[in-house]
Amino acid sequence: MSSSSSSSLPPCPKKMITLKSSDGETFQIEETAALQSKTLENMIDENCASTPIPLRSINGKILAKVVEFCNKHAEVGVDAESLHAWDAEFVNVEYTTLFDYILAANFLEIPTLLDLASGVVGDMIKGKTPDEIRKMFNINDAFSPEEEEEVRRANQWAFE
Amino acid sequence: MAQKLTEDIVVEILSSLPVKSLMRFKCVSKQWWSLISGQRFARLYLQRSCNGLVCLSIYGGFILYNSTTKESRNLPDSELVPGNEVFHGFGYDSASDDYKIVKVAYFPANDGSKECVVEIFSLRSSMWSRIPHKDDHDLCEGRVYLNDAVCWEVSRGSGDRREQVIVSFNLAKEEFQEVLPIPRVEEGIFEGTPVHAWIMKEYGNPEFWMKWFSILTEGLPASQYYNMILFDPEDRTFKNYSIEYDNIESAIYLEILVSSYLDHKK
Repeated sequence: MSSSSSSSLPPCPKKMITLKSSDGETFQIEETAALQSKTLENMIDENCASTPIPLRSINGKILAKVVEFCNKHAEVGVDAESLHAWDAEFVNVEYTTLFDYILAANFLEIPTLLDLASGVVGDMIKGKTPDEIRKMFNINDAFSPEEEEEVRRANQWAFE
Repeated sequence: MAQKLTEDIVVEILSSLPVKSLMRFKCVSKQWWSLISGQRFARLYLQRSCNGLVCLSIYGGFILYNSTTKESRNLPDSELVPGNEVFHGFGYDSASDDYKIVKVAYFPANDGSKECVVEIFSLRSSMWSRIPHKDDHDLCEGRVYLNDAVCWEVSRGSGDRREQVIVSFNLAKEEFQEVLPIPRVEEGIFEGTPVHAWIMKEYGNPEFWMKWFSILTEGLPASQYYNMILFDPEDRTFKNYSIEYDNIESAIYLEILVSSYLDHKK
């Protein structure tokens, strides 16, 4: 765009939404980017978005990443291949962070982020042993050794 | 420590896993065991995979087999005494969440034409029923299951006007439905000619038949027996799966958890 045309036209007003994390950090996000979240969309529709939207289940560190994700996915003119590469880099994190992304995406109802992060967790866990899974998922209602042996025997082929 | 995921999210993650991992993860915990064994999860998986059981026709009935879990169930044949020509189809009807076998049989009628009888077996009701049927299709072999329908190749017309079309039998409505033309291919298929594959870009719209790829048959592995070749159209490579029998039928198969169907006995 040339400088003369940009000076003659008023800048397009971008409607901004403010999000507030559980630890009190605030983040500005363009409405168009925020609309990828069905939860935020509903709040915006109901006109509840004039003040900062409190997101009590998402901390500042994760919310910053979610905003970054929404901004990237709202960018115009990004070709599929480079977006794919960007996504791959975005989820190249510890599984604990992926769990946080999943929980945030689930709460905010952002299907693209939910699918991306759960898909990566799925790839991560498919070769793991039940023991490793229990550690990862912080599971404490395990079977007794005898019960586990029985379940294992019934599905023996899956352990071969 | 990682935050605890809700059951819904665990299901979401598990639904992308291969069946083998799922069966192994049954012993992770009581909750995971009941999630993976449960009807709800099996159904969720089913919708995503669409079709995963293999239906085999045997003398006096059928065997439904899941080669991933190695479970099987015997199904009865219909009362219909088969004529010379019988065609079977098997598929999933998502509207009623049911698996169905379609049986199309031809009988010589008194006036020299052929009378066609169509019967359906529903896995849910474990029963055969005959359905009213008017169309006169001359089915050929080569059925395929797609979009809640079993599709057959059919010959229509005679002489110069004879053409091959695809007829689909809708498993929910239980009727023959669409008739789709097949692109005309001029060359005969014999050794040395290329093999052309066509793809319908938009299901049901004949305008969208497009040439997908062509390969030369020269250089493909061949032997005196029927050969199976797995061809990857993306990188145009093939793998040879030599099977030394001269009567092979193949089925498209996806790993799937449908043990609830196989457990269900009436």
